[in-house]
Amino acid sequence: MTLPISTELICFLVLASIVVIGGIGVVLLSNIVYSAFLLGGVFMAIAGLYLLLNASFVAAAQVLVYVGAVNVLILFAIMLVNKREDLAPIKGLQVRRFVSGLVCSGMLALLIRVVVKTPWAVPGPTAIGEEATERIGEHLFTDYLLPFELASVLLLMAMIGAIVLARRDVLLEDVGTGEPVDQALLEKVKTPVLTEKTTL
Amino acid sequence: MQGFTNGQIPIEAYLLLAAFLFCIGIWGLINSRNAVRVLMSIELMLNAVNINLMTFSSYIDGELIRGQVFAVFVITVAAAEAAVGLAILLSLYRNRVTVDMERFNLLRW
Amino acid sequence: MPEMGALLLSSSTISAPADLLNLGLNAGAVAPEGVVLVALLGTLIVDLAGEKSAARWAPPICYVSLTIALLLLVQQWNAPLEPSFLGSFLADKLAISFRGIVALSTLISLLISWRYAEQSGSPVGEYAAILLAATLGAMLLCGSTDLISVFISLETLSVASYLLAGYMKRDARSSEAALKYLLVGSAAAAVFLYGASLLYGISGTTNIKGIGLALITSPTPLAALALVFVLATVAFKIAAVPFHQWTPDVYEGSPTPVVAFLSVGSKAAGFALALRLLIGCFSAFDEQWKLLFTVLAVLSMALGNVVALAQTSMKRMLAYSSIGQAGFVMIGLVCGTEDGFAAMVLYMAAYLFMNLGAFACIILFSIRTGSDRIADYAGLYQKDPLITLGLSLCLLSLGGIPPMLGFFGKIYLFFAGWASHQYLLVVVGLVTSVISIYYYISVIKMMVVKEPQEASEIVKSYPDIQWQTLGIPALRFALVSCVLVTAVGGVFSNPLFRWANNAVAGTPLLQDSIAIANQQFLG
Repeated sequence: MTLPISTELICFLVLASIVVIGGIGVVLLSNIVYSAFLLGGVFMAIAGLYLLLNASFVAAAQVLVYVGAVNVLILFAIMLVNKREDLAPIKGLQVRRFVSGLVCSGMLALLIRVVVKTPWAVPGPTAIGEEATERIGEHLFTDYLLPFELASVLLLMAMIGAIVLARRDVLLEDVGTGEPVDQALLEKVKTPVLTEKTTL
Repeated sequence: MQGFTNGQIPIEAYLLLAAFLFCIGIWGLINSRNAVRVLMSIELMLNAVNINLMTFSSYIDGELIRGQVFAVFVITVAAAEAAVGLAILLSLYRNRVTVDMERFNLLRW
Repeated sequence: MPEMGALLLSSSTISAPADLLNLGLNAGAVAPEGVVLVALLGTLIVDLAGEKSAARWAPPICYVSLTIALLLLVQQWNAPLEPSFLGSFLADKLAISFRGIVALSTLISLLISWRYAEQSGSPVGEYAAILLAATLGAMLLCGSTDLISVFISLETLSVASYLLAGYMKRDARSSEAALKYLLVGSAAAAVFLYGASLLYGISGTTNIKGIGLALITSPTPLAALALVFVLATVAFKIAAVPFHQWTPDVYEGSPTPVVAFLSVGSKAAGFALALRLLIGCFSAFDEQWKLLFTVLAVLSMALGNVVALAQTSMKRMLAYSSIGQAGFVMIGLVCGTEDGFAAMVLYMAAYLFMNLGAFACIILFSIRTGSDRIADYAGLYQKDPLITLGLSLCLLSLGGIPPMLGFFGKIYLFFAGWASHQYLLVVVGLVTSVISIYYYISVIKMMVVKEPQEASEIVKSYPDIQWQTLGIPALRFALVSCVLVTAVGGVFSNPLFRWANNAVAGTPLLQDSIAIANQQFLG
């Protein structure tokens, strides 16, 4: 085994084990802050895998967007809603976890079987390697122009929507009649649903 | 430019890793009681998809790398979805002061 | 770069992006969407000037742009068929019909939204902008022929829907509905993506047609798995049982005009996606997906209509009834014949008018009374004959009573199902139709038959009917026109039949599939 090959293999194994262990940690750790940091680690390891796959642009995008934006956003959210909350125990929780674990491992077994059995069309055309970034740009302005433009609408709308939902100021009166309003559904519930709030 | 050849690592290795990550994501989605953790599980699933796409792009479609473009779009959408999800979570937290999925039961499931 | 050029030359069979630069985009095909986009930006700009300005200017901008979009769609109807955006989009007659249904449903949903949004104190300009973004996504979804554009338009529609569901941000129910919708929807999107990535891995392309060809030459177990993943997401979008759990919650917690859009516009886009993916991409697995969809259709019709019997909230009842209605439409999908597809298109159009008419009535009722409980409708006919009449006609049409529009749509669906030997589906459809008539009629009975002293407290203290308030005239216009089309459309339904048949006849995708099915039948 030559040096480059074994280096690649070692890199893959290290990154893959970070992804696997980190992924398990994200869903299992009881402290959500640790989970969030582990998630950042998983994202970084996946970016490393992209580098192994010779896709430096997507690796950079992964680091910038996932680690730099999504993960930070998640940490912010945890800080904002981080009230010590003792979750009330639920009956049959362990059974549910176990059963869903069985279902998921069954699905994993199915996926593994299918992935191994399928005759993949490898080796495909030679990878273009470092010219990938240029090729992505060409794609974005030719055959994927429509989704590219639509993605900008999606981002604009997500931004506006997130601001509308998260900002605090509330319209105090009906524009049409000038009556007071409360930004709730018009169909009121007769029983006070928010009694839980006071008991916390 | 030095020609890069894949093949040292079999394609199945990447695909199995993605399948494993996807199943972890699903398990977390079902079992997490903290709404933020559910969002994290969804991010794990999307990353599993991205590993798949990047692998196919490199091994099967190395010349046109449509999978890389697809992955870039997935990353974009994931960011938008996370932002919207956290905005909704914040507005819900203001109303209910909890992030426990089991207590979001004003509407019957 | 010499290397790059050599590379392109060596692969002349695959058209590399650089070559494609010379080809035309044929971007005129998305002109209607362009108009919607301009309106989206317009509503945002008038909203900058304050809430009063938004309430004044956003409605006309939306009306004008959606009308222009509809006119452009009509103009496209007879235009020669060319793929646009280098194969990302195809404006065939099927796409045009469904885009028309989506645009019309947005127009009517907006007409019935204004008063509701203003009375609850929600920012109107942003509301319209987000709804228009959802429309944009749904319209592009109807014509997308590439997995990436399918995914992005699906997500535009979904993310906008999550935002709209949580728009009443001071109401815990609305936020909760939005969060549940977001979590389930994003999970469904991730599952769809996993299936899409497998399809890409099998075929090495993202074009739906290309994938379809690759699957025909080598139908592997992996492709069947991808089918299951993709199908689950499609079923989620059209709310087929057992992927329906989100529907009643989201419908109950969301603002009612949003529910009106979700139950028609979003669903129509879901069916267009189902047609494109299942027929264009999974034709190699024809028997398998038809079997799966038969099961989904039977479950949807049965569960949707039976559970609707037990509901006490009007919105929740309509949610379950919409699950049942989606089951009826699936009959046409499973048939796979010319009549089946035409019946699907026709029933979606009929469903647009009758469902939005019903929603206009319950929105008007909740604007006046602040309630959506079925019991509160008791004795309404003495206080508000218009709502009573409109709701009765729309519900009768949803139940399929002649001579309403819904009756003809349903009969056509059942006829198509019977003709292609889907006896189980037709029998289940007939039985569940009878059940649905029972609960629709019981609402009507509640409104009409009760004596004045039996009327509910809310109806007894019913406010004076006013038509001058801002936004109410638009609501009345939408209500009256939907009810008129529902009631009279049945008698004059010939143009609709012709339109639906034309739509199917002018769609190469569907024609190919029908031709293959006929060959198999003969051979």
